[in-house]
Amino acid sequence: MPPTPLTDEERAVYEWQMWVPDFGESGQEKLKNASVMVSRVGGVGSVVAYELAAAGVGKLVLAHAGNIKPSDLNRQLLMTHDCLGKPRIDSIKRRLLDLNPRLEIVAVGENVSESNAAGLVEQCDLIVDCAPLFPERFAMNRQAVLQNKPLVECAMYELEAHITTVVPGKSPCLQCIWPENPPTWKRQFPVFGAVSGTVACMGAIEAIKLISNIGDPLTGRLVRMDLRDMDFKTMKVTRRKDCPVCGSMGEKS
Amino acid sequence: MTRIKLPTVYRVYAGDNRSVEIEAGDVGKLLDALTQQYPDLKPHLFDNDGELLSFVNVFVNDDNIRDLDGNATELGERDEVFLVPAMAGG
Ligand SMILES: [Zn+2]
Repeated sequence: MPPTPLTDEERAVYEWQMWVPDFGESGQEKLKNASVMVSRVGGVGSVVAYELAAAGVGKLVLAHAGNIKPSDLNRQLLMTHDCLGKPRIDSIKRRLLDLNPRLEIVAVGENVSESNAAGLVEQCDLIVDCAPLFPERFAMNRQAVLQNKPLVECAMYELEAHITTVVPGKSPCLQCIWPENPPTWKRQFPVFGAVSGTVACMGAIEAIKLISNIGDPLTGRLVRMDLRDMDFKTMKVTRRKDCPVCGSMGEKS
Repeated sequence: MTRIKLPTVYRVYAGDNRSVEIEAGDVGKLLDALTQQYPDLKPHLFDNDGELLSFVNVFVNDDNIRDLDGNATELGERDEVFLVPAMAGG
């Protein structure tokens, strides 16, 4: 199927980012014709989805369960005070369409699990994982590898954050880096919205780069940042031959 | 002295320090000295058999010790060691 070209309205809206020379109108067309899955649209995922909606990604597949609580509002920037007690996914959808009414949204009011991951990943070209629990992330990682789709991993705790990009068969998957989760990990964790939002913006630009094929993605690299002292470090990460998820895949160049 | 940078989750077990400096010839000796100095840290780094836990990565500068010589990875004056356990906050 040939890509849908930009309309005059889209040329006007995205004019300033199309000035990025290696991106241009062809990059914008790629975003328009792309579909990105965001797993959990909370502290990190809200900002990822908002940035991708702003940038003109054509379709977002969004999964997030539950109703809005007061404690969401310090960081989950697509939730609003007037919608307290109402489904998060409705608020997410409304706020994204306020910004970009051209956006196509597949909104699922449940979190990612082993049972729904395959069907969600089928509907997207690329995933940004922002889920707060390891079983959700591991289910997503497995499907990304099985369906051979790039996966941007954004995670944080307190003033610290991690980001890496998985291109199956080419770079380590999540379980090459961390085969198991820490048993002490809890669903609730200390967080400022400015920290979740920082790693979210990095995740969004990774997605934009991967779709439009500009720059160098974080494949085989893990960025570990501590915003407490603004200490950023990029480390090399490598595949495990015995990885239970991607170990059987050959090496892609 | 080698500087070890501790992740947020471990600081509470290490006197609230963000980093610790220790003199050691290799990574194994460094981690031994670290957990002797801060015994509460030990169960968060090693299992009962003394093996590094699977969800903790140890880097010397930008390289994982898995890709170097593991515990036998030698350390120099200017090397920095990073403990990087998995996190999932979203
Ligand atoms: Zn793997």
